[in-house]
Amino acid sequence: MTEESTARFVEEAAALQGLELGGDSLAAVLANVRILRAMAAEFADLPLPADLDPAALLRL
Amino acid sequence: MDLTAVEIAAEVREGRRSAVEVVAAVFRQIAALNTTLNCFTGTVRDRAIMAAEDVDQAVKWGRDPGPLCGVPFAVKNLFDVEGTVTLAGSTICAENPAAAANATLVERLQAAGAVLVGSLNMDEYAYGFTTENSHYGPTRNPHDPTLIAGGSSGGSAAAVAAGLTPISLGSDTNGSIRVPAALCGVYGLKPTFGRLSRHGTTPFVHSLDHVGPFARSVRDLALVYDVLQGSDPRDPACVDRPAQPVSELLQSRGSTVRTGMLGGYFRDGASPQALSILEAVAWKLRARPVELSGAKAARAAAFCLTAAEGGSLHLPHLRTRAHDFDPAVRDRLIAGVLQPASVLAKAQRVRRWFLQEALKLFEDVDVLLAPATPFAATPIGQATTVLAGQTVSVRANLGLYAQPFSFIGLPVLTVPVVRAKALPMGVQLIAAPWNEGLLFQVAAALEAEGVIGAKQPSHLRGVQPSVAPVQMEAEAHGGQ
Repeated sequence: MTEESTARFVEEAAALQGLELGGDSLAAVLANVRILRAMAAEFADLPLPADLDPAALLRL
Repeated sequence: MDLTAVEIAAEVREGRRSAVEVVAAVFRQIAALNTTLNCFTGTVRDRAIMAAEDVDQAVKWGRDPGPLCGVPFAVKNLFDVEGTVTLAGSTICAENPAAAANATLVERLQAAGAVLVGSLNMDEYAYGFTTENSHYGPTRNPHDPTLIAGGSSGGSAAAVAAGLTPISLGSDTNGSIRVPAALCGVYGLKPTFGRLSRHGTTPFVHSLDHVGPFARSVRDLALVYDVLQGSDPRDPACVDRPAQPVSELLQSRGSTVRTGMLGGYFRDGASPQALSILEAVAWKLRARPVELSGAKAARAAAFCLTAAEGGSLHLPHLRTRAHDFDPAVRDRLIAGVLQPASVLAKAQRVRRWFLQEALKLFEDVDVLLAPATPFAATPIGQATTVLAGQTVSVRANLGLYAQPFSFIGLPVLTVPVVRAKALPMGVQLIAAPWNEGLLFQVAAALEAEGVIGAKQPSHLRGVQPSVAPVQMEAEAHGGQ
């Protein structure tokens, strides 16, 4: 995604969630979205076994 | 107060010192130091004195008040304290009604004879590693008040390091007990996920939140941890299994415990000081080098899930009261709720896979070692630091080595490594689920050898109480 399309996506996604983003806040949220994308890229293509239990709460 | 919890309990139980005297001394210390350190956001002086009087009465009549007889304690301000408002580091929560009951762990400590003295500063909603709270001010590191205490349980770690209380409680979602414990030079325990009840605490990330204690000695940490254990059906994540006391294990020094020093991800980005203390502990334990694959992906997945779950929790207020949040917290939470569902689904699967990888490692090793933080405490207000010639974000990197383990719920004990004329730093001792006892055995052995130990901040020695006591009763934040 380009910077412009990322900004557009963030504004639209935020509006759908009922969130208002002002000038400074939009820039800060965009910066955080970029960080989260970089983080997601760390595991997006990680090959995992098919039979993993994806339960949200750990039961140890 | 320099006495440990074990020493205070013995003194009070044997009548050499009254619980009221102990509590009075604590409030004098708070008056002397809290204006500088900003550990406490509220105190409960009257209640503490009444509780101390009850302890003294019990002793007088020959009844045992419990293992924490007259021991003062304080809690991160996300723990409910009956009659006071639970702030969770926010101003939005300051408008809530006072808590109708104590958190389970507060109840357990009080039932064991401990005396609650107040609530402690934290990052807003526990989303941070520095306790630079924009509403309540930064908590300052007792070893150098120009530096951060770490977070998000910064008040809890700093209060114990400064000797204001011998024990405290905090919470740890991604490292929020372990990071401040390391930076303030005290012990911090993040038990196995599901071990301790979170009932009566303000959540941050339901699937990652842990609670646990801080102390200045292994014995104190073991004593308080044993009191805290026990199932609680009011926390759905708290597992119904018998308590496994660790105090009785401290004499068996864990000489047969197999230890491994984590390499790879857990060395990348570490300062020379962090590596030096890790190697000192590893050498003492004859730890062998081991690798844990997937840690970088696990940390990244924890990062994404945290933002998403935390953002979802606070979505109603993000919609209606965005300006009342700490801006740094708000913008991360908003970014979190905008993540694609596919990322979060994959993150959950990474979590399960990484747990399996870690459990495989525990077939050959009992306790793993890793740095607690990549670097020591940085100046308050400083956003970046330099590591190996690279400028890196302080906030984004403090939890680098802590996050992978909370992500999979493993028990971790952060221990302060003894370093002459240097800022405190810590090492994480990590075990398989439910093996906290091994961690305590190893820590007790290291402490007995003088490798680890909490030291009193040198510039606080001899500090006298101020003439006018600081007024900071909990009423200031909404009544109690």
